[in-house]
Amino acid sequence: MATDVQDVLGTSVKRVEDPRFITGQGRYLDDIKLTGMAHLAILRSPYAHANIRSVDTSRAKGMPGVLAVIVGADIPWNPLPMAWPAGGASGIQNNVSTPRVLATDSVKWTGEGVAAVVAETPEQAVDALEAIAVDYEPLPAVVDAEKATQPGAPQLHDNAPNNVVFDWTVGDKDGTEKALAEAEVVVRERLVNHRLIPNPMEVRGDIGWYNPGTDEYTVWMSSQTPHIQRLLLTAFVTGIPEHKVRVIAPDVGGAFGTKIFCYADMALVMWASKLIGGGRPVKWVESRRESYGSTIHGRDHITYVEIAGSRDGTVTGVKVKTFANLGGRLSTIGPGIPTTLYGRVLSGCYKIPNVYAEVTGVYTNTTFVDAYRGAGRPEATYVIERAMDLFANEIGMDKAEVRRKNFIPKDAFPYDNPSGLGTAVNGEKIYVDSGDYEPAMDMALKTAGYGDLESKRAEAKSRGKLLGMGLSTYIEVCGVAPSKWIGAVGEGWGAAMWESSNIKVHLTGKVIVTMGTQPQGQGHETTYAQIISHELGVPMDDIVIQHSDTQGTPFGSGSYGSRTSSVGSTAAIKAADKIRDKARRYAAHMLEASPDDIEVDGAEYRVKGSPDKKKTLQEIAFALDLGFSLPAGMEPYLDETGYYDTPNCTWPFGTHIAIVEIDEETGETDLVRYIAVDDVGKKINPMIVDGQLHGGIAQGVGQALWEQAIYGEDGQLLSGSMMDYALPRASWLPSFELDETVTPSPVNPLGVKGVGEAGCIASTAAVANAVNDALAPLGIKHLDMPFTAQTVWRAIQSAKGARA
Amino acid sequence: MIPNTFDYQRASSLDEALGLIGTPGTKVLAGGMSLLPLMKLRLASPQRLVDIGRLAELRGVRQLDDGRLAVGALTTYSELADSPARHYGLLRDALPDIGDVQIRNQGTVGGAVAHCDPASDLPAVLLALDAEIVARSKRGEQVYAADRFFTGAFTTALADDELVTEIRLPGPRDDAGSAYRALSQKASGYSIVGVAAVIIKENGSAITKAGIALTGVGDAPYRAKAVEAALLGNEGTPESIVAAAAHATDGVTVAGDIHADSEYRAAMAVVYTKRAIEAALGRLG
Repeated sequence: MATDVQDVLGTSVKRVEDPRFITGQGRYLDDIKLTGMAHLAILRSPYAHANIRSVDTSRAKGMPGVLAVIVGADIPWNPLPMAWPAGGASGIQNNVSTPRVLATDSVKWTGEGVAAVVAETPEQAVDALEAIAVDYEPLPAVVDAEKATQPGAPQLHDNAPNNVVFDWTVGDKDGTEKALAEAEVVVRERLVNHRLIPNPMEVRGDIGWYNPGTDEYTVWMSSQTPHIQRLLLTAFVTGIPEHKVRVIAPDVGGAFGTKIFCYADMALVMWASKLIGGGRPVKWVESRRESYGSTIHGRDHITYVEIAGSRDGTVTGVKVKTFANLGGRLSTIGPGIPTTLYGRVLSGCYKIPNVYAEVTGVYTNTTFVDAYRGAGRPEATYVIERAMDLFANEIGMDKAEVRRKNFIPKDAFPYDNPSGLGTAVNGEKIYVDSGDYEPAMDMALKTAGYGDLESKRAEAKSRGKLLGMGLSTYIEVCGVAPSKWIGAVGEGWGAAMWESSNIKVHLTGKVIVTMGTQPQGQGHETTYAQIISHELGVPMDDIVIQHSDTQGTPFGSGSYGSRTSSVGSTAAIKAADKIRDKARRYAAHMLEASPDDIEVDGAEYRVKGSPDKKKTLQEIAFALDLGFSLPAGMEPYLDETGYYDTPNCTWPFGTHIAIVEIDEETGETDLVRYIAVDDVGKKINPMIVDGQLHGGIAQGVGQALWEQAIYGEDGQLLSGSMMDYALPRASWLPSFELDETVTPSPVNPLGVKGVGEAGCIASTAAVANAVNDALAPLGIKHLDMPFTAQTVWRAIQSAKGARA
Repeated sequence: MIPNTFDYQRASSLDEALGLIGTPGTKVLAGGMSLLPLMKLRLASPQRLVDIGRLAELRGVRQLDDGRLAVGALTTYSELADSPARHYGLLRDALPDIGDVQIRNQGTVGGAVAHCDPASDLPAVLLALDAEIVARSKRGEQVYAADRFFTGAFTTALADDELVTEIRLPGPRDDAGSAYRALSQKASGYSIVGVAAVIIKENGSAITKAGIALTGVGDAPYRAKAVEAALLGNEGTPESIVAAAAHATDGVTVAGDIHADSEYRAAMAVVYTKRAIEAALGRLG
């Protein structure tokens, strides 16, 4: 690298975004105020299940400031798309019902949009909602996915008998049943992975603007996927030509998956802006309470797991039956989460010869369920990690040793799961790229003092506390995904999954990088700049990373699935390669040398053997931009675009250990230590990696201990606000003890794997195993999450009652 | 999260405030930490707010000649925590756990008392301390004993035309120990069970006076008279504390919700009563 530019790749440089974010200078959706902007509010169903007999909007239309009142029948656009059917190519039927822009004849959950008001002010819009009279015919509701499939359950959709969206299977059924039949030991358990409500700091919102002068729309939205939303809204919902719509995502204040999807409100603000005329933009922003019914939920599985093996600790088979609650209608990729992203990783980091899973996707009268941070992989990790503990307890073997015995050995990579979990419906293989699981586990066990567990338990007991230690040796699938795999029907949303990057080196030597990915707080403007600085030898201060606008950024699928660092970064490197190659050829022209004789050192392009014959990238860019002297066939300007379609996913792994103490008198559970050894491959910015892990761990701990969406039997959301839905707070958590092993991914040139979801994929299972470990001496075999004080107290009471 | 339309008037003197309140549809706005969220959710839609927030005469803590503390109704939680009230063990326990920093800097003692949320911490503290609540109206001043003031969920003995102006706490004494212990509902921070205990040993070893009050458990914060009676005359042995705490919910219809059903809440009332008494005794030395 050139002498005066420090190589920042792999260092913890401070985030360039943070000065604006932490001083309140970020510009989020609701900060945008456009001339003439009107405001939209949505009337939401108070019933979980009802037919709509009529909607009377006459009084609302006369309310002060009201510009329009809209009902579902007004809007001829298509229902929202469902882009990821479960395993379609293997003949599996998907019984699809998706939301309309506004409900027309029925509502399927509390919070489904029924009518909308556009008014001069948000206050007037909300006031007018109260003047809309909807005549509902209430119907019986069902909220539990398993109960919804049983005879006599309320039926949601005519095309979905027994409320079944799909029955999907993966793995070797015969082999697994044989393994179970022949095993020395089979342990069976019912596991509930309860429903969560995502809570990014910024809720969702959109602004739609129809420009009558150009007959074009601009939609601002808080989104992880502006390009994808433009595609879905035009080609699948509105029929408006794609080139007539521009989508802009301003600063996005967190998302956790919720902002991947196509929502009714996006189309509604477009419709409303054209309806009220005059080129007036229309803004809608959800309130937090509204968000709990209008934005997707996560998890919500009921699973029956059977794990089989021999008394020496060898696991020979795992069979899983899961009811996946998908809500009242399907969200954009709802069916994909409990199938591809769950079923295909159920064997975790273990070499298990026989695995088979059946997943039934189910409609219930609840908010729709889709990808929430981790998306299927936390659910899979929970199942396999609980199952490993249940198996170890049954055979009386140490839980770490059972794991060690069944780890995929490090010489088995790339690893092809023998049960066919990694074989897509088109026969495409998905290999686990790399791994070396024992060192991470050993490191975590040592830090946690695993060998002293029993003395720790005794010491805690003397203070009236039950101590438990829980392991989670997880893997996750990151870097989604090869287009050839995800494009197979039922393995993705039928769209390509490559990424793109454009780099321009301007006349002044400043570098403008535009990306197809979409940050939501992860620090892309920092990490991409670190990469480009390393690649081109230009200081970070001379590089700007631009994103988030379909006008001006190359097409990209957006940011989710821990894909940005591996897929997006590689696209940027490919663009940088092209820049460097053209600069080298032009340097040869300037220096009157052969391109093969030019050596590149950072931003310096030198003639080999004549080190004082050199040009900087900035000098090259200047001359190429002026174009006064171009070699034959060379175009002016340094402007290159790189595209990258990853040949495989990347597979981070690690061992997390939670240590909990339970107050035996009250059931209150404290997380007292948390140790995490993660292998995410190489790191672009270790501080940002740690930040992702911290947040992810806290989120997963939140599920295990506190967070829970609770519906009444009538479909009312009882945990309907932050007064009743308990998000983790920093003061409830110990200081996390992080460490690492580094196994570079062979998939991409940086050797990175992705880290956005690892923390929460691992931590829920670690805490659940710790609580169950603490309760095991009382004879409790399994307790479901979340481990609220009442839940744990009741388990302790009944265990003591049973033993008395 | 947008309230209905309402009228707003700011009172510039206590007398003016007393002239503005008492009409139907009128609510008094002090710190607004309970009222405004209810209005934003449209669970409360008063027609008129009378803002007393800037009445300096109702703010601050004074020590009276007889040693009692007079806490102005507009004193915030933070101000109370910084006042001589910090010498009361149970206030030192309770105040830092109320709401968050912003709420403690804005929420007022008088507001909490008048609002009477059944899970609010402060009413239990005042009950256990035998505090007095002073109210004013155009008719004059009325002094309520705490155990006659909190009558039900969100209801008090306060008349429509009365305003809470002051809370009087008994003077500190060396022969008293006090503590507050609470099991919080994780999302809201409100108490599933909160127990305030004041234990007095006037002549050495035996308990001569006990104030035990619970919040979060029933319809309204209450004095656990049976617990108090069981403590009198004994020395506070572990067995006697357990025996006394067992009466924590005597005569009370225990509430249940999605966070704690009545069985769990009743059991925790006993455990936390025991813990509060133990801590209060511990502070007696």
